[in-house]
Amino acid sequence: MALRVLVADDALFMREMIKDILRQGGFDVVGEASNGNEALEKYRQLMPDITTMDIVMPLKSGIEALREIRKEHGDAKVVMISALGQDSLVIEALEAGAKDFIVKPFQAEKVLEVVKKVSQGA
Amino acid sequence: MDMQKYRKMFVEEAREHLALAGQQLVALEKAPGDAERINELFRNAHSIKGMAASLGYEEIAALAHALEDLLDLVRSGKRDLDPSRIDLLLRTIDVLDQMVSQVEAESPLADVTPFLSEIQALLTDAPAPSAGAKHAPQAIARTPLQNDLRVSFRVAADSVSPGARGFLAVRTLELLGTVRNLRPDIDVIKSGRYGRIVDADLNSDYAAGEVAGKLAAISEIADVRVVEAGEAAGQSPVASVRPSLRPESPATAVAAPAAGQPASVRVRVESLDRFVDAVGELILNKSELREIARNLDSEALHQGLSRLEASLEELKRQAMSIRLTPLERVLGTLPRIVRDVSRMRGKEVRLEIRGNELELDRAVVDSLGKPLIHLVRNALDHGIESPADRESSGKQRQGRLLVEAYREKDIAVIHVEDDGRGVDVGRVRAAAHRKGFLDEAATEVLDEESVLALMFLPGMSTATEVSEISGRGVGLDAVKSIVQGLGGTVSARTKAGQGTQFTLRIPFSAAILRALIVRVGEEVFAIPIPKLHRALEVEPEDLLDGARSGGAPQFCRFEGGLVPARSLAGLLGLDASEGMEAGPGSAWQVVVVDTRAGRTALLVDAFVGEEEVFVKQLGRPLSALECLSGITVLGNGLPVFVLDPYGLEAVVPAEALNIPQHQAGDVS
Repeated sequence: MALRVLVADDALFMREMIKDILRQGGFDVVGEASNGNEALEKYRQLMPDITTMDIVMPLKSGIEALREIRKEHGDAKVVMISALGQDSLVIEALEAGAKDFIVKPFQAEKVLEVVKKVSQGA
Repeated sequence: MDMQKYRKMFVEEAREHLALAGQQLVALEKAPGDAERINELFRNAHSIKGMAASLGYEEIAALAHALEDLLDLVRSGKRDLDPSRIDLLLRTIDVLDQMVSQVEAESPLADVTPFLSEIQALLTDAPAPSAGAKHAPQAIARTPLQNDLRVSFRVAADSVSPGARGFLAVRTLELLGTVRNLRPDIDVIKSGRYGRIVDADLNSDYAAGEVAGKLAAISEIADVRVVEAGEAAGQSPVASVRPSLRPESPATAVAAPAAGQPASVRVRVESLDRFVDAVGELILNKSELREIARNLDSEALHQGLSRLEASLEELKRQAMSIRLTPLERVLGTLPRIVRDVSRMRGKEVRLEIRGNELELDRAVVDSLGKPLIHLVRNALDHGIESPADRESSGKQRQGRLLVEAYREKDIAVIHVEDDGRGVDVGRVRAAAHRKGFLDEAATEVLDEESVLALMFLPGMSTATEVSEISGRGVGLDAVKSIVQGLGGTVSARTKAGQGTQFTLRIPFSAAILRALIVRVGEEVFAIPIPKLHRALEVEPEDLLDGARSGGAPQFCRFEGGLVPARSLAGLLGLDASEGMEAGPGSAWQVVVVDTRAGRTALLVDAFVGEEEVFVKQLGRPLSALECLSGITVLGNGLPVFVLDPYGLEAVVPAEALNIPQHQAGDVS
């Protein structure tokens, strides 16, 4: 069965792009969120196998959403989406339990490689 | 028979054997039962005996023969290698080394009778009771519950976030066990400013294969190597894992090296140099042809040239690799030095060497001997405290000295790091002021890094006592000048009470390198790519006027911080006004480099391009200019100077760094 993914990003354009890439890679995109609060809500509701989480989002940042998700679900697999030059935020997210990260601008192969590796990891 | 030629060969080979023998002995002191090392030693002695005898150096042959006989007894378990015997053997090797030097100088050989009789006394001694058995239980008792692993991996070169990527991998390791000796340290990894190679020791319940699998599963992580730490953790390079020779029959042991030796020929270093020179000329010729092809706009010529280029690239790689020598040639001498010096100074030190296998040009490796030995002695002498002092400050009795080499792009990085008392930055500051290297204002303003850089000035020494080991206050400046001669840099970092790290950065190939070609007014210069951090275009609003007088006139925004900016023309004295005359609103071309005074943004008029250049050494008097590392001819036939950014005039208080000549020889 295809792995179920939740895509959180405040930019519609980015969400569409990530969704297309993941669908073409055989993943099932089950939901999307445009801010941190929504991401947390959707996570509880959908319990996806993997979540891609933009770091900078309104209302609640991706890192905060990640922290709350991980608090409730210690085994949550969250991949951060960051922009170039946000290394310190990425490190913060990794410390908070993110499984991996993807740096924008990205290539489709890179996104699939990371998401696949995370889905296979323990 | 051409004695001259054979003598040279003998001297060279005998020295190699003696150096190896010394290393084996020091290692044997720690692991006395190591059969393979004893075999190795036996072979060294045997080879020296054979060579010396065939050239008629009877005294050397006799001494080597006695050594061989004794080792044979040790090998068969009839004699024990206790510390006093190891001492004697080390002294024997020293005497042999002196004799080899006498052969080289064609002077008469020393009288070795006293030594000979000392060794022969051991030969006729009653066998030591239960020799060898003493050490056996130790070896068997060691069954660790967990695996001591040595891990190394590389972050892919195209990773845009080496900092976060490296951190992710380290965190993965931490989930698998206890991580120790992480190199580089975690803050450096996080900053992303490291060579993309990370290694660490890992104590884990997982097996090596499982750990490797988990690391390899992380994206952008490559070249994963996980091996079980050997008996002498950190001492033996990974590559040295080879089937051990059983000492059952002496015949097989002696025959082994011949069978295992790669087919090779000895080539004179001068011939190699001429070869490398010729390859360099070819590359220049190719660049000229490329320029002609461009002018003729001939596609066929371009295509032919591309093929030529590929072959030349391969030829260059081969040419450079022939001269490569593992750093072990120098690092291998350190255990002996550490052993002797720490004994003399009553210190307990564990030496860890990593990166023995890193290969550099032979001339570079040879030149690195002195500076490395100096830094190691320095660490033993001034850095690492006495066991009692260490205990009273809550440290382990045994100090740790790490010498580590690794590759970072086109640069070889070598750290010499101790966990001793650290450098007293305040004292360096005070000494620099007292000696007139710094004026009052600069003394207060300079940051720690710049203050530590002052230690490398001639005549700066904060040692309160003149130590016979580290010399009379000469040293760090000599280290710096040798390293600079190799086109490299040296720097220091320290933490009070925790230790000091010296870092040498040496370009891999000093002869052929890629360079950025820049224009300054009418002049064109080449800046070696390995020596620059970034070349970028800066908008006028990112160039700020300096507020403080005496500091840099301008600053440039770079990577979230401010870097002092200077016009290259001004630094080179090409433009007396030192003004920066970009038209209003137009962007600046900036090259960010490390000069003696720290990171600096050099303003140039234009980037002309990037080229592979073959650097020729300058003759006198130009060779005296620190800011020039050589001259090259560009593809269009234009001869240009190759700049050494490090030697450009200091940017932070330039006048303060003016060294009064009469003080240059002072000793504190």
